[in-house]
Amino acid sequence: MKPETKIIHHRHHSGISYGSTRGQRFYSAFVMPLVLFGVLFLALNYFSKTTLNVTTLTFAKLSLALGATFLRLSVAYIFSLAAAFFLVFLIYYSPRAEEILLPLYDITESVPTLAFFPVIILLFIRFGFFNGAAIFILFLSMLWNIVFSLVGGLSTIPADLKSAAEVFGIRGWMFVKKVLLPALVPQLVTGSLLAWAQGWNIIIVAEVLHTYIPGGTPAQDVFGIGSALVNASASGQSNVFFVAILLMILAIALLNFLVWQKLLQYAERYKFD
Amino acid sequence: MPNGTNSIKNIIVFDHVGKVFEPAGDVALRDVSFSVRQGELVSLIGGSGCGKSTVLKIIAGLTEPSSGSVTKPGKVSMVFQAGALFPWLSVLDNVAIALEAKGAAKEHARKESLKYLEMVRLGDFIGKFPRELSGGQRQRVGIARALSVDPEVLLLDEPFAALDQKTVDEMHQDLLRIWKETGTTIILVSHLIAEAVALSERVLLMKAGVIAGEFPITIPRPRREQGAEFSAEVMKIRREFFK
Repeated sequence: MKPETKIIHHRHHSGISYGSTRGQRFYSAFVMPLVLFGVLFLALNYFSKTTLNVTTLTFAKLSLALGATFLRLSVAYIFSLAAAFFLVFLIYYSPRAEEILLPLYDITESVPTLAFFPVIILLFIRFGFFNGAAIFILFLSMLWNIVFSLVGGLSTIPADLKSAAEVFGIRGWMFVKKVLLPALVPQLVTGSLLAWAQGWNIIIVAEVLHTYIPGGTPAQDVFGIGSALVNASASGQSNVFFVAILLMILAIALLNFLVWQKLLQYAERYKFD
Repeated sequence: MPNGTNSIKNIIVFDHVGKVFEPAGDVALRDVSFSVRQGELVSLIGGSGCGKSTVLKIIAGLTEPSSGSVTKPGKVSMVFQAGALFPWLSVLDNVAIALEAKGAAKEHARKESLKYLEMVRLGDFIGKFPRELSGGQRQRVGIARALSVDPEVLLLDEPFAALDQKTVDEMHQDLLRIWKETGTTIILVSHLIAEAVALSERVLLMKAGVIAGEFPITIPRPRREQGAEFSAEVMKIRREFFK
């Protein structure tokens, strides 16, 4: 037998393994996401106070608008992620719930986001929570991409793997953490990519709220690249419009290159043969 | 391992066991009765759909019989046909997870897992991932994982079906060595008569949900597949198989 090998918890990043303490893992799993979420909300609150004056839009202000939109998308994504996991686990753990809920999910997914506008007006706009309204619209459009990707992912988990987990007593939270969640990583990445694409698609609808509010004014629009595009177009500011479009395309391309491609590569190790 | 010794207790007893899968009403087992002695290596053979995997699942606790009674020990482990390894865990962690599930601390589980990986000659592969292993290596990881929980009964569900002949021969030798070293009761499901005769002390033939024949194998080890005794034994079972 070989000399005793020091075995430490391995975290793998770019092929490098290094140790981590329980405290470090707790920080990564809980503290950091909470802090990040808090920062996002504070930043979004700051942007709520920024007005959009198309005639004085500079490159810097357009960049800020892009940042505001990105923050809005991030917050909506976090909410849709949490809701998606809840909805998917509900049907995973209850065959009866699956029978009832899966068709319901199908129907709800087909309902156009704008059909929810009366709800949006009642819940958000009436109380002046315009950012909330925009985030809610984005959340609705992002949610179902993630849900159905994860639902599809559940069916790809080999029966033998689930049997092995049962035979070896891997149950409850351990099963979720060590088997279910890792098994869903590829679909989570794909679903998230589609969700963000859908989000970018609907950003104009989400930010230009005044169009859908009876007696609405541009003051009810939220500061963002979507509203910048619409207002620039409406006021004939074609140079502002094109810069805004270019900025958006650049942002999406950078996200694809720096985030999605890397995540898709990372997700390969979670795929079944 | 001694045969026909009454003092060795039966570790598994199937007594008129039936199994119907609802709601389709598929009859997987009709009336299965057999027993396995402690420390025995028994093969269960039969054609597709004869119920041999269902027998294994009942022993593993993955499903319950619809009728009859089953006596089995608490600690049962299983090796699956395609390995059933978790692609995102290293070889070491794939074995350790079984011990962690039993309540072992991660560090301790990993140290213990190393012993079993050495036993299956994969001590140099602990940092590899399943996608980097050959079929035979994956099965060896599966065996190490199954052994790590110190089972009283080890079940193997057609573990060598997807492997090439050279690897199969190596795996047969490894399995026999592990069986001798650990003394664990082993039940192997196979669709190959020759494999069953090569490895087992007893072969149980299943047909249409019942035990159609029981064949004690008394050929001394090491068993030569080219030998006359071996061929005669295979032919005897084959005649019953195709009757």
